Amino acid sequence: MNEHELRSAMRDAVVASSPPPPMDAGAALDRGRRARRRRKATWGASLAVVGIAVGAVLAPNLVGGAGRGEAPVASGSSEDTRPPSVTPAAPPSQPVGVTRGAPPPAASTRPSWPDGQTDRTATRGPRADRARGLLDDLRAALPAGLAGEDRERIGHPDHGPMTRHQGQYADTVDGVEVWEYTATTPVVRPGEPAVAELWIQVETRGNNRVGGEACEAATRHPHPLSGGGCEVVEVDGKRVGVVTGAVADPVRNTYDAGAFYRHPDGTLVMIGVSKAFGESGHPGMASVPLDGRQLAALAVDPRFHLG
Amino acid sequence: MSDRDTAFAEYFAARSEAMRGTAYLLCGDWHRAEDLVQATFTKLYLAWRRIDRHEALDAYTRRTLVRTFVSELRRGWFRKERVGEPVVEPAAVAPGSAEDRLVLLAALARVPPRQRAVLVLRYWEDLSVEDTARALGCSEGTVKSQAARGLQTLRGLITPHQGEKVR
Repeated sequence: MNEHELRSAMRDAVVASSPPPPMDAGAALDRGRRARRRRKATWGASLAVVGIAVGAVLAPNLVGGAGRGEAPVASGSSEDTRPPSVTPAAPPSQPVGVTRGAPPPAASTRPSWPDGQTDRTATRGPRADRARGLLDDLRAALPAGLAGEDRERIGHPDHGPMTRHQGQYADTVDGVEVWEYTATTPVVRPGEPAVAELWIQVETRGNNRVGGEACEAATRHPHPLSGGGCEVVEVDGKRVGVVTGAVADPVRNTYDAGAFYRHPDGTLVMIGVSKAFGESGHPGMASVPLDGRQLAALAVDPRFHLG
Repeated sequence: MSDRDTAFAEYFAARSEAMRGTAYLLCGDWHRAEDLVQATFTKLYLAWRRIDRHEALDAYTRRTLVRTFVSELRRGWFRKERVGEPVVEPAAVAPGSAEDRLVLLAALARVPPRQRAVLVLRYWEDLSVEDTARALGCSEGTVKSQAARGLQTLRGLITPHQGEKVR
């Protein structure tokens, strides 16, 4: 493949992949305005805090050091403190066939993000804390002899940290916000160099991405398992689909084994485990570190029943 | 609507589709591509009045898009659905068929993200080595080596059968 052929192939790929309808300029503008309001509010609050702090120091001097006068209260200034603005020039040349102007909001094909988020991921607040807690709980729930510990990749600098957690908004279904909480951790046997990978994803009540329960859910969607066989394992009367003998592929994020459990309220818990942590540069374990019953026990653990 | 908002809306209408195509090649998923474009244009809106060279808007927006993509990879932001899509076995694909694009996208997805970004900027956006380096915040030498490695990786991922057509 030479450069010219790659260029042509990319064009073909984009054109042939059925791009969705154009994005809504009005919705983009709304998001920008909301982000600006949030920024101003944050700055205003920060200025107020600084103002109060400075006032607390200076006010006693201003009123003769008696400390009885009221500290000057700094208000959150709405004045624009940005550098002198330049009136935006006309936009650059436009591609042929692009419709200008903002279609009505109803034309948007995208969901809006809850809680003032600028994308799906909650980076702060209770949802982000819950994702962090999921990682901690996953490590704490490991059976004796195994530990969840962070590791640095050896090579593969573009693949990011090996330990991850994330809380992301998925959708609103019948008025219920559905969230996905994910955590990934290296798993080791203390004192040994081999590193396995353990992953969990919890989809909260109202989720409809993967239908069914137990093995029905496990085989309905190719992720996070490809191949292998599924059997139902009962834990305290709860039916868990446990898949073993699957094919781990770090590029497709599939695992050697996994477990699926759907709580009565619909919350879905998925566990994936591989004997090796793909693209980490670390040696893998000789076998998958969790057996089917241990995977099932993790899947029904009440700590992972998140809202 | 203020002048600023009008200009922003016009710029979005004019350029969001092109940016979305770039984002699609970077991440291989239209929904995620739209998320990336949204995040990019929100940042652009916030910086709009500080940008005094509007003729350089495209470069600024593209740089923001690529850095948002790389940064979100580091944060582990990705929709699992994307990786769950059916994988096309390259060996089973006849040259010239509609599945070629799936092979390319599957192969691109396996190219490390920074190399992928170089390939997309150089050969989809037709940026010069210098502009690609500026967009990615790296040296021109890095762009050249990453582009060479990226192409090599792609060649290795596409089977000889495919290679007969595209080599």
